[in-house]
Amino acid sequence: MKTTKYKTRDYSYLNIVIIFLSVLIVLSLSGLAAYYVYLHLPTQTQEIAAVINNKISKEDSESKFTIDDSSNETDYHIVDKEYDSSLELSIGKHGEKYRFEVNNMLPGDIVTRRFYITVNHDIDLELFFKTEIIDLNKNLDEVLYIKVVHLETGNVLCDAPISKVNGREISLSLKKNTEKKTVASYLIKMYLDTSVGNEYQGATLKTDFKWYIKEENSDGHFQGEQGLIPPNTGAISETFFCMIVVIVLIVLLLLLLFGNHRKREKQDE
Amino acid sequence: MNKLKTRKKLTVSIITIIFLSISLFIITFALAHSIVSMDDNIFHTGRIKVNLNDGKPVIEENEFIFEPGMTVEKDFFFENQGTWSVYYKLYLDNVEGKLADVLDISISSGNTILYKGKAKSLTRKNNRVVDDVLKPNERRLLKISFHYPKEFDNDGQLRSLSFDLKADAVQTKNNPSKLFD
Repeated sequence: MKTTKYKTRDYSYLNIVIIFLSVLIVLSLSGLAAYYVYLHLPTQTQEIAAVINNKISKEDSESKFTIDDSSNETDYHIVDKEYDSSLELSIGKHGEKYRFEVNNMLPGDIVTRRFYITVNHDIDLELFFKTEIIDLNKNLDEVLYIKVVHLETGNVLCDAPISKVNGREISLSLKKNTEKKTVASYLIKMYLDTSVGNEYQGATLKTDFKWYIKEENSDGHFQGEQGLIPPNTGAISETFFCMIVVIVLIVLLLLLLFGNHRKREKQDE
Repeated sequence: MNKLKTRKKLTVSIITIIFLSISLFIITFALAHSIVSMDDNIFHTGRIKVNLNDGKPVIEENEFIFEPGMTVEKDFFFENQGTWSVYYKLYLDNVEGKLADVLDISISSGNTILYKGKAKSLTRKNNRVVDDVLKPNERRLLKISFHYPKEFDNDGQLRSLSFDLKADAVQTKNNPSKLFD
């Protein structure tokens, strides 16, 4: 008698766990679905523009390597959205190729990109920019310069070898305004000085660029790190993967319910 | 029988829980990481590389015994193995031997004479940049000529000449003044 009760209790605990996990999954799925629906809202698409043409190869003519040549610059917009009283940032649509992809770079070469970060906010904020080098050889970071300019003010936020900038937070103050929105325009220029020597031939550097916001406390300190979400380069593959998981999950839940139903029917018989 | 049934139910339930947990983790991960940074900005530098006759001498020791009025011509090549077009210049270095003041040397490309003079005058400092651009994977067939002037007569007897033939190349890009240094 005792053994049967114990086993029955175990089985009901398992059922509770299954139900609990199922509820969590349904909530997560709802959140994910809502997120992707939001991405595809027409207003998001209209606010985002990306001009794709930033690959430089050895076949390109020399005329492409000029400063502020608008015909060869890529404009990239990151849009954020505010939810209720808290600041929340989300991804906007983007063109297929927005990142720097520079091949055959030689001393004297200059490559630029413009990025427009739209921040919806009703409080004073600091918008931070940071580089993170993820791959490097031949110490190319010591001679590859990065210059970041805030276009609205013309302020040069940094102009140094990327080795000196890497991991460092570069801040931009955003004041609250009546429009509850600020568009911060960044010009990022990557260049090699003509004095760079032969030891840097055939070198490679790979880096990530990140923008994020920190909210200022009453005591002047910044807390948290809320991600400003750049375009999701793997959006398609992640979406596909999640769809597979969702389909499998639904099938499993259906089988589970169907199985339970059949068992109840047999018990009733 | 009941025991077996219960075990089966337990097994199925546990497997289901494991799978649901994994699925929950994956979906939560997808939510949290669908927000990503601008990754993989790549910068790759090019190369300036040239090949001068595969490193082989243009003339071998004792290959010829020069006499007054004699002219010897030898072919060699210069190739761009880099990733961008180059300006270049050729010159002699480490010149030794008393024939350096006797032999008239000229280097030509087709019908165009690029350099001409005594061995000791064809230095890196003296030689100008060739009025030519060598594109990637392009090869120039060149000729070096050694002429023993008749007026030197027997002055060059039992004399020799040794030298290194060298080439300097520099990118054409961002270099309108053809600077090598």
